[in-house]
Amino acid sequence: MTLDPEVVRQIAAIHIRAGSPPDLRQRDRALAWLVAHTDRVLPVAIAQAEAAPLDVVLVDLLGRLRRPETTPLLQRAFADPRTRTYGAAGLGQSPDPEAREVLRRTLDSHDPDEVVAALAGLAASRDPAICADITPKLTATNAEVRWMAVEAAGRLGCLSRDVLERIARTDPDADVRALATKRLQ
Amino acid sequence: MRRASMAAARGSAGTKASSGHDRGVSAGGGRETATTPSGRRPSPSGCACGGTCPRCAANPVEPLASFPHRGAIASAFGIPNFDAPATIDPSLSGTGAEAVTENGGVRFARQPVVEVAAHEAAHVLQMRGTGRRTDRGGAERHAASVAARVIRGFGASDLIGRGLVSAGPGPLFFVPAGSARMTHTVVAGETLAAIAVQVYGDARYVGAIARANPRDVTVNAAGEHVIVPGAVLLLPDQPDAADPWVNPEIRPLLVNGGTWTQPQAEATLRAFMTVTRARRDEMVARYAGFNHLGDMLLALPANSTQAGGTFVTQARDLLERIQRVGARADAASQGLASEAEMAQAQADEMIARNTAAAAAALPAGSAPPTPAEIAAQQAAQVASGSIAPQTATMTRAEERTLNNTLNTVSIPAFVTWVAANHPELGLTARHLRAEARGIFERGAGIVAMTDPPHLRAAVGDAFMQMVAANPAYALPTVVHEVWGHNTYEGMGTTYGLDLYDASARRMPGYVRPRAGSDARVSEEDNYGYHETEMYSLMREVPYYVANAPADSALDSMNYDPAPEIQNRMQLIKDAFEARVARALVRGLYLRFQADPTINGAAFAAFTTAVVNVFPPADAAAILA
Repeated sequence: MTLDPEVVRQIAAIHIRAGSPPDLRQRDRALAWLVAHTDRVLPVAIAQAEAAPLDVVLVDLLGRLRRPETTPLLQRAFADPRTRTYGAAGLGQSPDPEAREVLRRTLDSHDPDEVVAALAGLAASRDPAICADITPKLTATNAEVRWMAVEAAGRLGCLSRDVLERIARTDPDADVRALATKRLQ
Repeated sequence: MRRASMAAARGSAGTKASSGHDRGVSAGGGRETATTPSGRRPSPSGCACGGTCPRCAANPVEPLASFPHRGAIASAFGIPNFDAPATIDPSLSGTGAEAVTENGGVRFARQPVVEVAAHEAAHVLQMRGTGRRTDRGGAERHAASVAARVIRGFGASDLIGRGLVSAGPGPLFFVPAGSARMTHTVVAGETLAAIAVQVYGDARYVGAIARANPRDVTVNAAGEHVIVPGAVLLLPDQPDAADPWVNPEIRPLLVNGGTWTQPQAEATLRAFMTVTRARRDEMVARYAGFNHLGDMLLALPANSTQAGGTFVTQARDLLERIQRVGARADAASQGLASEAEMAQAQADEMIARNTAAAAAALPAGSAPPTPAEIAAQQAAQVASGSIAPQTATMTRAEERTLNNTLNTVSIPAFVTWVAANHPELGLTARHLRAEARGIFERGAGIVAMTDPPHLRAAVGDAFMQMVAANPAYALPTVVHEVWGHNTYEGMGTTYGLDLYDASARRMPGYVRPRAGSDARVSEEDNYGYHETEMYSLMREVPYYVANAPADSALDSMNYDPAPEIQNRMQLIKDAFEARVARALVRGLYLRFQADPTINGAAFAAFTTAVVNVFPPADAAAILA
């Protein structure tokens, strides 16, 4: 298969590893271009991601494309601890109901790391309809889970001021209290 | 890695034998002559005793199994089996000499650095050769040129093959020299004008010599200067206020070449900065064509011309002028006689492109685009996108773990590894800062970010992964961030951007965006950034190590910088009018050639890119 050379060039640009301000601006420009040309980009991105499953930059791009065709690759990324963070964000952004369902199911996992990742992924959805899935985790026994639940719920606007004030006052973990306080501001 | 601190301990200009002027000798200077501190010529046996005095008896000659630095020299010379008899002869230091080449072999006063060894190896080959004969000065210049190539990592086989000379019989000494004022001993038949030409390159400096020697230079009834054979004339250090490089010691090095000492180089660079910008341009135009400004910069202390170094500002000033003067000369050779004409050519090109784009954006049959529509196209062409760089969330535990690992494991391991494998960088822990969240929030896969105003890089997850696999993988990006852009230029004053600005002013309807605005930043990125990025990528080249198969997961983060250098060159070619683009890259070629922070492999990546990006005729002109 001959890959679209402009797409290949732009994908190379989002792989710039150096972080001087112009480098970062070039990455941003390339990313914006790729997201704006989804139909052209999708086959190339999928082909490259299939060949390099641990490339978090590609996983990140797949999520931003917001296309159901990417769900299998994002699920695979979500299952691997090395790419889980980006797989979760990608699944969260996807319009595919199955992608969202993967994250919801994971909230029941016994592994706190998986639950935390799923919460982070749901936060990326920007969909307040999932508040009901997130808020039960505000009382989880694991502090990391509670911290991410406050982060996700706060980002989605799920928490009232009263709830945030209560968490800021009573949560046993200092970091969770600090996050709630920050959200109140 | 390249030149060490030997510059202070040795040096050679090799001009005495042919020029007839001389200077006193003292330790810590650096000039090759055949005289010693006492004025004696060193005896071929080294010590005046011939090896019988107590000092010589206590320091016997030590034969070496092979020529010092034989591998590097053989590789650079393109002579795989190169070797020559060599000894360490401590008695030699009693003569003030660092080394002497004689009878096909070399005696070194001590274990030599690469430059001394390569210099003497060149003499060995000169003595073996049957090529064009030359005097000692010529032999010294040739050996110095060869050694300068070797220590920069360049091949020297072309100099060995093409320029091999026979220095004639007798030993060639390498003697540190001093800082006394230079003199010239008048010989029969000489005129003051001839001496001025010989020493300063121009007869108009006779007055300066006469004023410095009122007793030895008289004026006859005809108003002519009179000098007598045997008179020792003081040679003024700086007879020309407009050009401090008109100096009896410096000018020959700049014009004829030779080995610079560190004090000479430092004095030369400092003197350069004492004159106005216009004068500096004139000086660079005058001397750059001799191609020895790079030798001077090379003699400065290692790392002193890169960010954080003592001479970074001065060296950057000189290198920028070499770039601009070279670019203007190339443009002139293409019919663009001045920078104004370069700017007009670029403006015409941008107007044509914008007019075509504006016309294409209008409905068929529309009237030609207005100046405002054309100007709007220019803004659109450099517009930047806007997108959130990160959509994922880093947990506090991840942040804590990462920063802890970076601070306690990754950074110490990296610094230790760099100190052991690339000590020339002088990298310490203060050049790195753990910043897991900051890196993460700025996007996936970033290895290091600049950390202004400090000369250091912020690092995060990707850095940790790379160091865990192999610290070598992370080094190119760290060098890029710490010593790349910081050394080359801050944004806003690169030659490409200057040319763009001069061109844009000529475009109808163009209004320069406010400094710091998104529109202005986009212009800087599109026209000013490529050359500084190219330099930063070239700084990566010597340190790039490909991933081992087991580390293929890091392929997206550790990749060869050479293709990206070519991409940047292509962007310059695409952004500028063809003649202007060629001139810009020609200027960069000359700049990088003289830049001591660019090594041979990096320079080779640049020249390869030139050949791949430009048509053959243009590439040949750029690389001439």
